[in-house]
Amino acid sequence: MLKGPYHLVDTDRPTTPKSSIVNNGNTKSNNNNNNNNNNKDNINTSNKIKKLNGVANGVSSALVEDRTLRRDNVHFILSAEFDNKLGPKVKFQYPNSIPGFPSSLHGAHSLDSTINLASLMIPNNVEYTPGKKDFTVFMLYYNTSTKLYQLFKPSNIKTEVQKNDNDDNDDEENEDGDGDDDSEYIDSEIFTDAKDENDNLDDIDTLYFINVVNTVIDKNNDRGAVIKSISLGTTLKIFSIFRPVLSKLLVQYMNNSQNSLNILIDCFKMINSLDLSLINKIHSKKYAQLILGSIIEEKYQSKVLNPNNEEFKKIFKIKRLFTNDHFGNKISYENKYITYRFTNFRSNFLNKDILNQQLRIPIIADDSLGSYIIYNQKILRFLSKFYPFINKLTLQNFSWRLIINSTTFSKDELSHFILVLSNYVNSCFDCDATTYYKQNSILIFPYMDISMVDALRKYLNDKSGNISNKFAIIGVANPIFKYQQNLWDCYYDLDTETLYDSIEVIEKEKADLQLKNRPLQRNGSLSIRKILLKPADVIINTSKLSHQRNSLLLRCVKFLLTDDRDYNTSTITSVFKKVNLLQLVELLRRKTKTSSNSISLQDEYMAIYKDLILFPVFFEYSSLYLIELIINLHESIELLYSNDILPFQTIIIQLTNIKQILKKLYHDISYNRSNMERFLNLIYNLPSLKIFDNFNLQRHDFSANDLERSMEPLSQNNIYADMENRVKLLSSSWIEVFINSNVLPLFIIPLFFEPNCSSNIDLFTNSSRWSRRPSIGGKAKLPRSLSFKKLFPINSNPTAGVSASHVMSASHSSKNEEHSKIITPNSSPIIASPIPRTPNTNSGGPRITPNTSQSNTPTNGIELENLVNSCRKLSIQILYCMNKNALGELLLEKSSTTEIKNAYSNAKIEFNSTLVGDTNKKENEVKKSSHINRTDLMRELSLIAEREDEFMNLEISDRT
Amino acid sequence: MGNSVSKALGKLFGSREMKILMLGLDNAGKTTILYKLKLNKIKTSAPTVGFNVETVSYKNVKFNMWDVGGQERLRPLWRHYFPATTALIFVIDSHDKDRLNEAKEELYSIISEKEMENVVLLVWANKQDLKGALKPQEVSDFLQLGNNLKNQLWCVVGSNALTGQGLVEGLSWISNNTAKK
Ligand SMILES: Nc1nc2c(ncn2[C@@H]2O[C@H](COP(=O)(O)OP(=O)(O)O)[C@@H](O)[C@H]2O)c(=O)[nH]1
Ligand SMILES: [Mg+2]
Repeated sequence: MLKGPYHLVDTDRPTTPKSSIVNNGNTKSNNNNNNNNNNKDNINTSNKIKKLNGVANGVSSALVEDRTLRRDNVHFILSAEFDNKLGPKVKFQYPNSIPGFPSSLHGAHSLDSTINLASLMIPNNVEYTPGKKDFTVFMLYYNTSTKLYQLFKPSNIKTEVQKNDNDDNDDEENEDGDGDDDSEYIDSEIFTDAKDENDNLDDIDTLYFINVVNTVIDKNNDRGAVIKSISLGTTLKIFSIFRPVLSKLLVQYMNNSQNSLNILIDCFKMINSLDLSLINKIHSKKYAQLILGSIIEEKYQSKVLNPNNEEFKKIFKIKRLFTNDHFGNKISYENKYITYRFTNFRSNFLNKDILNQQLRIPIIADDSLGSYIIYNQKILRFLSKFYPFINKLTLQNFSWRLIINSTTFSKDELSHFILVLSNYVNSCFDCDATTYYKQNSILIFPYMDISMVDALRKYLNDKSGNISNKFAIIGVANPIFKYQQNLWDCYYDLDTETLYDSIEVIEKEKADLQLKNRPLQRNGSLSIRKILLKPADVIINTSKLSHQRNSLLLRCVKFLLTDDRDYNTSTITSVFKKVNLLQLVELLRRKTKTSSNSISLQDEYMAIYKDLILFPVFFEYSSLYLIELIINLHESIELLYSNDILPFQTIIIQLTNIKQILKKLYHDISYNRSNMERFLNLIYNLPSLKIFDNFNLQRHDFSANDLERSMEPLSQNNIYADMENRVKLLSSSWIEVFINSNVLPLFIIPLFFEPNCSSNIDLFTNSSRWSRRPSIGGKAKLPRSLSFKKLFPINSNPTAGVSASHVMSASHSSKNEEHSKIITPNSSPIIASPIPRTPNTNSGGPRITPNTSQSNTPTNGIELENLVNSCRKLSIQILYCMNKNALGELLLEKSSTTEIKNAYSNAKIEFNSTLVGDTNKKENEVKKSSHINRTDLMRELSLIAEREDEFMNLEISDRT
Repeated sequence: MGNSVSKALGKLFGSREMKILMLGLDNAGKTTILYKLKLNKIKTSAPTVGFNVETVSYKNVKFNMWDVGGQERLRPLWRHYFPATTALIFVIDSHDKDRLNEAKEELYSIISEKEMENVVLLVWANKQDLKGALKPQEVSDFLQLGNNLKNQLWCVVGSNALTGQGLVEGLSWISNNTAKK
């Protein structure tokens, strides 16, 4: 059947295009014709054409071919073995050799002859564990100029400062023509970065290789053992799903020397005989993946992650579950997983157990990495040592090339550790695709062999020999890397959990030499010798030399480490996200007008916080836009909620501001599903801005702080905690209070505004009316009276000190009886968290008009009432809109108390007419507001910051 | 050179450490030697993929011994193991006469590297138990070290990794000749 080792044409494969059974984006324009929303169709099609053009102009036909290849589940299968005379060599490559890694007598080498793929496939010391399989992972990147794959990401493809955040948007809504709840969404973005026009080529051209290797003792072999491995190359980030099948394949491959090539080829074909479009579609829903991935409660997980449930289908817009894929292979569905069977593939060569192997794929793509839990403690311990190191770096030498060595871990465990760590660090394990600082990305290399050290050096040092702003996380299993000078800034021994800082090593050497009155010789060998021989000498004394600031994140890491409770991955990620967002908010609030647009916010963030962990999704322009609005809303409400009676004019200005913000938010999120989900992801992760309000996150040293106390305002006043969950929250750790906090209440507060108010204090007296159970059933039980102040801790007492433990109730009683009345039964004092913020030039803080015009005429009263009603209406519109989105519904359900739900139901009844028919209007408005480019956005952001009454050019038609 | 600190410490506390690099063609017996020294056991059932590193203590000296695979494709990687080496051990299969010249070439290409100019060189003429193996003197003559090495200390010791014969002698030669340096 086979003529030669490299078989190019694959005739057995079904040639039918993979049109979708469910919602496959690839073929959407074909089946969309009876979609009554023609807009969608047009936009989709034109996007597609743009993309195709991008590719065609973009370069090669090879690339176009690669694109079509993309529909395959795997693109390459390789095998390698240890040759007793030569060393590791690649034996087969199928269906052809990887461009850039031609096969030679010695195996597949890149043009740089020192790079031998086989050294990644036959890892060091694999002979130690005969009979025990091990796995490695490596990536190859397509270089568009050479049209070849290479081991390091080509530097000629620089990602934009902000990555295109619309990845998941182009395939939206395609089969959603039946005018259901979501019909108002249109397939486009308000925010369209220039990047959109060219599709991002980077992701496409990364091949992930999952490799399995084993050593089998063999008396017939002249060196006593056979060592072989097989790799699958795929563009799927969920490459780990192939482990079980690969593992069985290796067993058969090593047992059967006669048909070894046929076995590989058939397995390759077998994997490609599946149509994975359904799961690919599910994984491509970026925000859904992010939000669902961070849901901690099993209760909700089993609800939304079970494909058999309606919630799941709504979230992923899947109408019905098919039991077969397009090629007739059986699919089954269970909680958190979709399983494919190779029901339609026949082979004369493959063993039954391989043919019967299933492909079980997690619904949350990140879960394919496998369990994090075994590494969480190790990662936290690493972070607790790495943060002090990174904090010491100055901006001039802000570089961390990190090498992590373990000789006791299997390569599988090591690679896994690196990937899990990388995933924490930059929120996705292919984070080479996203930039970290100053356009530089982090090089992620799960397992590297010493043979790659020259290529690595070349890659990390640019022409000028400059190594500033270089970042890498490299896993190695060879302590000789420690001896490689100018290769690492930080070397971490995972086995002993010891961190080596290259600067300290050199300092130590200097000190030693001076001690001995000897001239300093910088040939390096001395320092290196010392690291090896006396590690303790080098490390221990310097780390205590200067006191390092404990940033909030480091403080959190230390807490998670020392606390008895076992924190799971979602909790840890959630803490990281929340700190990330709080620090970002702090940055935005403190940002001076002069800090220019030219420096990217992400760089500024990195420069100030020098954080390892960063979630690029929050730094997208469109997210920043939302964050700015939220900050602004927060500040206006804070101001109105002060205990002083504000000048009438100020109330009007603030309410107008709130109205504008809500209107803009409503516009943005009702615009399309992607915007909505971005917003939900933010709300879900952004903690109440009250937390750490008293601290300067940029400078404060949290080492001495009792975070339990810092969190008190939340645990006592958290809107969710306020009712049912209160007891639970109070008894839980501050970390839980922290991760359960979010900014959703900000959007609910305006709902409770009292339309007949005459002062800012009256504005908040109204909550009980709304939180009553809707009286339709007649037997509505009156809930206990609910004060607004109790509902949400926005009380801001300017006279209170910075102390977080200031007791609020006393100061209240004098002003408003109702407040104090309601506070007292709780017996726990409500804590004031005033804003002791230094008066910023541009804190985005509300502008207060001088206390001159105090006349509260009847006309003014009407003006006020109208404003309040507008805010209330917008608030209900936002909630309504959120609730229509399956993820939003989940969020509301998860986070709302009964009172909020009741208030929502009541308001819905009141505003019923506004909400219905709203969707028809939408379409016309929306078209006008599309395509805001980056400059506009930056202008916009500063405008918001300046709190002008005039907002951006976005045309907003008043819906009142 | 550059070694004075640990040397001083060694004199004070009666112990010192050094990094030893053990190279040679594949199948010469490097790994067998390493584990004979470390565990007093014969532990070679498979070729070395990459390297082995073990600390072997002998007479107050801790030898941090690196044994690096000697297959053809792996030899270019040897140089990455050079930094901070005190002594080079080159293992020769005295019975594999066909590859003696190949071994000699590899040896010379190592010791001509700048990074290795200050190391002491021990050659183990291994597999002395096999019939027809070259005697240490013959190996030494073949290598012509005396003619070519002007500044380096060197020594050829016959060994049998299976019994351990010659191994301790080799290490004590290294120990004596680095301490004096
Ligand atoms: N007869 C004999 N065999 C030896 C001796 N030393 C090693 N061997 C054998 O030579 C083979 C290769 O040894 P190994 O240590 O793996 O060589 P390496 O490639 O240099 O590490 C093994 O089968 C050993 O048992 C020796 O001194 N005498
Ligand atoms: Mg060996």
